[in-house]
Amino acid sequence: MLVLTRRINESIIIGGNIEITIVQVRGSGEQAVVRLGISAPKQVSVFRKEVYDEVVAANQQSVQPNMPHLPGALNEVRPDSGRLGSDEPDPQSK
Amino acid sequence: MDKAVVHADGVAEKAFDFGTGLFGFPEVSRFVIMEIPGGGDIYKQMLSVEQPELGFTLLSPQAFFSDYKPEISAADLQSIGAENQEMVIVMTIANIPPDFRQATTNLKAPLVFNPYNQMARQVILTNDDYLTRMKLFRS
Repeated sequence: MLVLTRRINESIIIGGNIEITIVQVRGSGEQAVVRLGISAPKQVSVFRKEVYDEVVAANQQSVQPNMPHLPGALNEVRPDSGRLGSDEPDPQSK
Repeated sequence: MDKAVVHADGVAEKAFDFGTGLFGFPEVSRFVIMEIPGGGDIYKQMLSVEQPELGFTLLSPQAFFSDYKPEISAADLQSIGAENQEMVIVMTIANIPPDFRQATTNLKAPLVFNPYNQMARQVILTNDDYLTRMKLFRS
């Protein structure tokens, strides 16, 4: 990995069109927090890595090539079954 | 669900092109959307053209979460040649284990399909209220 030392308000350029600036540094040691400013073309996606990793993991764990249990299960996992969804309490859960 | 998607029954010309836009699977780009027996309008199956053993179950998120309102960024819409969000179809990846009461879907990173040019991408929403593993069943 390339490691560079930068001061506040200094930047690095990646690929000629992505600029990352050190905006703020707070705290020290394990508690240190660095705020980065990122200027990039809007078609370049920027994610926090933990969010990206979580999406990759969710995708990989959702691979279902042959799904023999599915047709039966899908009859159960239905929004009209009254047990599903996020926004209304289940009237039959008492 | 648009007819162009529903009838993409394994015909290569009907495959959607994800580019490198399915996170974790940059090497596969073309997927067909197929009916699932019993899946109706809610569930579809998405199968890789390049790797037939690679498949996902998709669902129509609004069927379960009527208040789900993903805001697709202009850049993400542009990446599939869509001018506005009304042009695209949004589906989410379902994870349905044998114990289907543990079923979840990924509301944080929906799939967006442009049925007019067969381009598609997975997008990551900035809204932190949406979970990658949102349970379909309250438990």
